Amino acid sequence: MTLTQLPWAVWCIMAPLLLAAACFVLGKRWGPLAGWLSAPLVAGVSSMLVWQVIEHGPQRYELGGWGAPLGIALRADGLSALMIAMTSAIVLIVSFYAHSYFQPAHGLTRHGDADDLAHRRQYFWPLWLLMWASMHALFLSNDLFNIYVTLEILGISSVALVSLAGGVALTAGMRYLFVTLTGSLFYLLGVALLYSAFGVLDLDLLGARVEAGPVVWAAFALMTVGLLLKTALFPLHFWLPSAHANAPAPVSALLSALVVKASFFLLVRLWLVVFGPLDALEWARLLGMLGSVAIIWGSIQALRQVRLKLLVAYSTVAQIGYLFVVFPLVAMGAPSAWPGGIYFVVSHAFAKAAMFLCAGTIARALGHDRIDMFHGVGKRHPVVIFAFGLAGISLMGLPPSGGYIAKWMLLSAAIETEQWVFMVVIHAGGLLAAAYVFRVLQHAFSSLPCVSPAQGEVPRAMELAPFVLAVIAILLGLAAPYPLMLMEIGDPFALATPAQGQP
Amino acid sequence: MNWGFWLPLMVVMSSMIPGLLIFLLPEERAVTRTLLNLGGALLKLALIAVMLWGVYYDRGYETRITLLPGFDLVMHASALAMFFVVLSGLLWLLTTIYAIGYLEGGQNKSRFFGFFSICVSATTGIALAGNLFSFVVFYELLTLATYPLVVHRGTPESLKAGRVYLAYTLAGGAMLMLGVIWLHSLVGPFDFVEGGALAPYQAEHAQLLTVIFFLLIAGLGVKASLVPLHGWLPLAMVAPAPVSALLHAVAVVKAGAFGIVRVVYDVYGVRVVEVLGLDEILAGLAALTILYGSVLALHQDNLKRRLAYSTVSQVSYIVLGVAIAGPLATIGGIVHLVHQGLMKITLFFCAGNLGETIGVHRISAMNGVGRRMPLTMAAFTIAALAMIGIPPLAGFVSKWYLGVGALEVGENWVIAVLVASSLLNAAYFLPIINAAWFNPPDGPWPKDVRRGRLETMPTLLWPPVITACAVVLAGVLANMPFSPLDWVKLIANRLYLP
Amino acid sequence: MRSIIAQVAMTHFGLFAVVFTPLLVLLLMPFARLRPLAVRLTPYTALPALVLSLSVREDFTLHVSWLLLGTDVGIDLVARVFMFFSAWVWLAAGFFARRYVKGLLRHRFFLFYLVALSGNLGVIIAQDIVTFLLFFSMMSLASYALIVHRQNAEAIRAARVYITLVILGEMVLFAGAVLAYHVTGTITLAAMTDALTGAAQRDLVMLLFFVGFGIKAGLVPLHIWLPLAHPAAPTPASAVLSAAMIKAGFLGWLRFLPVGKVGLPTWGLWCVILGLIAAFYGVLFGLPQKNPKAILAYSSISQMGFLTLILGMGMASPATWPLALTALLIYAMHHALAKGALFLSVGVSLEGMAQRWQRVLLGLGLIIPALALAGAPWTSGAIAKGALKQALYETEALQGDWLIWLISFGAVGTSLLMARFLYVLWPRHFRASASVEPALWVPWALVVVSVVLVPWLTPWPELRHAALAASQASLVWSSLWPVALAAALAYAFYHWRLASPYRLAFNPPAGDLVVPVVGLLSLLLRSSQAFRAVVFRKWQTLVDRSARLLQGPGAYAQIVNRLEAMLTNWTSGGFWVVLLGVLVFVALWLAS
Repeated sequence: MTLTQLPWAVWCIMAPLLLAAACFVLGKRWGPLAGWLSAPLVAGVSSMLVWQVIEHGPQRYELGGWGAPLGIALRADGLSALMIAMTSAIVLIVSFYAHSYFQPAHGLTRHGDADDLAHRRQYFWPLWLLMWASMHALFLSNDLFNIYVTLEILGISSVALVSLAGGVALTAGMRYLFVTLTGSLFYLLGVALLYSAFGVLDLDLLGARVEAGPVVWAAFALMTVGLLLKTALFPLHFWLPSAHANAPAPVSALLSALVVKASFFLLVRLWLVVFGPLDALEWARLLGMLGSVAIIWGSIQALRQVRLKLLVAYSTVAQIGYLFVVFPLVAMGAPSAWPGGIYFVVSHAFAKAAMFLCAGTIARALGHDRIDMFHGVGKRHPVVIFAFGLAGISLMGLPPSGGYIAKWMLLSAAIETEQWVFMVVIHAGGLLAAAYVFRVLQHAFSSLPCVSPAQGEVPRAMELAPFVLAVIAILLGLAAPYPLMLMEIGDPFALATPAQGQP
Repeated sequence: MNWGFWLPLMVVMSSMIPGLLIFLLPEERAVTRTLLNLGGALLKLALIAVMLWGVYYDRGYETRITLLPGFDLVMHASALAMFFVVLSGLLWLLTTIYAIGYLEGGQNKSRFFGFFSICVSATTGIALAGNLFSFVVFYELLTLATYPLVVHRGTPESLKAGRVYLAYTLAGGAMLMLGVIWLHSLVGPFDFVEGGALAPYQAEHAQLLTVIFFLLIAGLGVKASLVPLHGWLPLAMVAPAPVSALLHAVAVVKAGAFGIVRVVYDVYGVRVVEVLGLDEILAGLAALTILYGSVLALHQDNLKRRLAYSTVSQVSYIVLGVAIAGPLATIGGIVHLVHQGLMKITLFFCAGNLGETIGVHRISAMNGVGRRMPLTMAAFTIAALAMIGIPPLAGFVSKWYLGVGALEVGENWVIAVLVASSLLNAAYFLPIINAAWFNPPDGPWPKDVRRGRLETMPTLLWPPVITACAVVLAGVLANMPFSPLDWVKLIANRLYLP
Repeated sequence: MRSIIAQVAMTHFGLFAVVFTPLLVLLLMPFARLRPLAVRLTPYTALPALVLSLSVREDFTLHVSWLLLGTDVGIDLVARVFMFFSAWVWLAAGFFARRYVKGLLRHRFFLFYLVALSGNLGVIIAQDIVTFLLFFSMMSLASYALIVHRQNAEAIRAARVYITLVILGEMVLFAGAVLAYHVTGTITLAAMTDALTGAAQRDLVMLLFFVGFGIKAGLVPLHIWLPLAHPAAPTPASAVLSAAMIKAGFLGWLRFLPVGKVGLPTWGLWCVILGLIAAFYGVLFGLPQKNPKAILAYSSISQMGFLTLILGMGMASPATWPLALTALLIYAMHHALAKGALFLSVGVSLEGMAQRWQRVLLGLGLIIPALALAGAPWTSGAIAKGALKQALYETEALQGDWLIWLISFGAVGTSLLMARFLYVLWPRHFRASASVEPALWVPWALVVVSVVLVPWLTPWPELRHAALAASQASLVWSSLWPVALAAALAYAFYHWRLASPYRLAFNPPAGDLVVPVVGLLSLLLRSSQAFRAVVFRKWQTLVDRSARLLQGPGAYAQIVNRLEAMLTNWTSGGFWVVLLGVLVFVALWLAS
């Protein structure tokens, strides 16, 4: 069996799962090291899958050799390959950060005792790998029930990771648990309704059979709400700021960058493959409206926050809004909004991960993250502030960044379909993003002396990791054709195109 | 090596890469930083010289990189582009030298010079941009690279200026981007073409094109500080003097003005603009700005603030020339791009010298400075007289062509605007000159830094003297080959020949 | 052949030497140690012009395409005459100033003196619009420094009024030049005026040039700077201002207006009227002045009126233009020399003379140019007025005795003005110890001598013939009676002390119209400032308020905070989930 013929998709899921188990088994002493070392390994496996998709087109695996509807199918087209590439890249970089983050450093000993830290370190890596595995599985599954399983694993591992911080995070984690379970439950109800109606769980088969009717509507409504809850679209964002802001920095980064995107990805897949024929224009408009409100409201809230991590969390609330603006654009006859939306997911992921890591580093350096006491940080940690700025550029949608390309495509679509409201909202969101990003940056440029006492050395990796992520967010703007080409392998959006011909 | 492809990219990168390297330098590596700065600037000039020669003989240089399917990042060396590139390249070198002297002993120098270089790269990119898409990319990059320079001092005042600057420029950038995307969705991607690319669509989409034109002008007008979008400029003068010099002479306001030049000539085309009746509106706006800026300048006591309002006024000469849209007015407008740059950079250098050397920032404190700093004030005087339009200085040449060009197309009122503006220029510059040369000093200077036999540090002294000489030469030798005027005539010929 | 080449080379070189000699000396100024040398060389920098004006016989022009917008310089009869008297006055004033101007600001004075000199000479050789304007503004702006030199309140006020008018003039000229180029398509002066004769916008262009140069030439009512500036400036500067520089304004008219190329009867008539008004206006306002230099300044205004009048004759009928031009050149030269001598004499008189013979000589030196200016027989004034009248007889468009009479009454006025001047300045109290140094009185004496001799010895044949003809043709009587009448009047005034009631009734300040104009302007400025302050304050509050809206505390902030608290309230989450579910369902239902 040559490299090309190996089922890399399966390994993408299996490798992190196995390594998670290994970490768990290895325990306190060797577990963390193993976890840290396994990150490049998993990333390597994922890159092989991406390479395979690029070289040989979309892949489909029948696990155990059984075909649908009986067996479980994995499918890796360009879209999932891109998602996996994004996930792996971010998790890999954040892993380096996390490794330093959980190292005992002087200064930290004042806060928690070494035992507590070791304890956290021990459980962090298995959960981390588990989350990784579940995300890969979610992106690759082609089966509604399988997806439910991955959703649950993803939710639970996330909750566990949030709670690792202890203290306030425990309450936030509890709420998060409740939300994620509710979301999955709604989804599961939808799946049950569909299965009872059509008797299949495979996405493609279902897409071929599904017909409009109350049952489908109800199922779709349930699944939508469940996924919206997980994605934290306004007004269902109530859990997000506290959960994301209280988690440990690397966890916040992943939650904001990837986990909320997973449920969004699912929604896109459902819409593309299963519900597309429903031609649900009103549904799309509803989501678009909520997305618009989210953009404005999240930005305003971000502008008002006192703490940096909360600011970044609310920024996520706002940025998620952009993703949902894609639906009405597509529904009104601009399928070109799809690549724009997906590109937004990718660039936002890198930028937001970078921002949360920056926030973590600053919090570590100053012992707090109050924005109005940031004077002089820029002088002490220029790299971090620079990274924050670069990531901010992508959030604002300014060139040359991934956010710019995505915004360009979304705006093109809005103008093409003459949806002026969305056009205005997309623009206003960019300007508000500039407002809150520069609200932070200007403190870094202030000449006032730094009032916070230094908390000791910040590890180099904690400065470099956000920087690398931010640079990637920028480079996404300069190398846009490649990701765009990758996501169109296997033509995942083709099903959406018939809308063009119809009114 | 394919020079045709690589040269434009190298011109942009020759300042970008030193800038990025400078970020990595520790604060105390002053010599390396200076070497990088000056090396980059000289290399850039050399590359520009090569390219200039080629363009003169109609050789094509174009870098084309696909950023988005259908949208290319294009850097194309046309005659118009080279005009702006040469200006930015030359003045970058001088400003860098000046800044090295100015910031001696200051803080955050690596950050400063890093962004400074990126700022110049963005300007060069704006100059070379071969289509609207690329233009927007560099335009926004410029906004971002300038912000750290504006707030460099970090005082509450400069932070406020930075906020206002961002509010204006980002909102403007959004307008511009909107206009560009809209235009693209209307006609598809296209490159700048001498004579405009929109003529075929003019009949079909007249109204939409008008709306888009206003969006574009609003976006560009913020940087070009057209009234009422000029509010950021007077505040931004809190930046260090070399930054103000660069902002006002080369980078920001010129980027806006240059963009308007591009939109009118290379996107819409003069004919289309005329048919849509937009030239009159634009000219009216420019005239209003010219007068308004001058009137406000009259009331300022802070020297740099007065110069800032003067910029508001002067930059609109470029817009005015473009809006009038005859061959001669075009010459006047575009040549002012360089002439105003030379004059204004001299003035800001001099203002910086006064502040740094003897602590004088207000006009009311300038009595007798001519005796303390004769060369600086001589340079200032030359530039100020040129601003007024006294022959044979550079400003006169611009005004001459603007006036004659306006008459050529029957816009006689422009003469009245030019005359009124020159009068106002005189009203706010002559008192300064008078105070400097003809009033006795009020007393000891607030501070007095004396080094060696010269009136101030050589790095601070020579740049304004050189630019002042350039102001004189640009006027006196206006008809020489390769003078700004000569080059603009080349551009105008290529624009207006059928 | 070789001699032609040599001569061409000489003249070309000479032309540049005229302008660049002062500028070369200027280059010494930045170096502190060379400054005394530069001052010592200053007077001599007018020499090349003097030599050129006397030596070059042929008219020629030179085109330099790469300079400015294409430069033409050249020399013709007009240039020769103007260059001669300008250079002569500058030369004398330069020697005078070397001794006269002392103190801290000496070097600054000479620096600008050189610039103004270069500008003045440049104007004379300039043959295209741009070059002319270049030298014109160089001269005008540099004179500012000469006027403000003393830096007392009077000088500062005078200089401010002066520079305002100069700039106004520059702008009007700019507009005129641009328009002229547009109409005619050329910037060469000769070609421009040729083309202008038949152009559509001829009158507008002419008006702009007329007003623009009129400011410099002291045309009423644009003269207001003149009576302020001349007394304020140091004596040598007043001399060159009044003798040479206001003539440059007049030269502008000659060069820029299509005089003699086409009949312009209306223009001619207006010029004559304006000239007469100026002639009498200068006398009327000059007589009450107490400052001798102010009297001379008003006299200049009056005399420029006569020059305007001759110009008007030339405009009215092109046929008489050659004659009128000759008269004009003679008149201009006469006035320049006489006025130069008079101004310098103010400087000499105020220094004081110890010896009696010196006092006699001084008195003589005062009387001679005064008589010349008044037009007493056998003086340059008589010749000039004779030439004027000769030209007038030939002008068909302006026949009539009234003009002759008015001109003669003008001469009476001039004579009265001179009498007043002599009365004010007449050497009465002398300090015994004081004595005038040769460095002061020798240049002055040279100018006085030139006033006497030059009209009879004009080096240019064209003028010499005309001058001789005028001196013979003009009856002694016609030039004698105005002077005699004026002398009688002056004696009567002096004897019966008639002056004080007159002065009580009419006592205008120097610069007459300046006061109301400046008052009006400052009112305008102040009101605009107040308006701006109000608008700005309003705008600022608006901006501040909107910025606070987004971030600061306030009612809006409370609403936002409460709303978000409501949204993120844990218990409301369930409500939103259910609501949204229903909404999605309804939306789907609606869609199908």
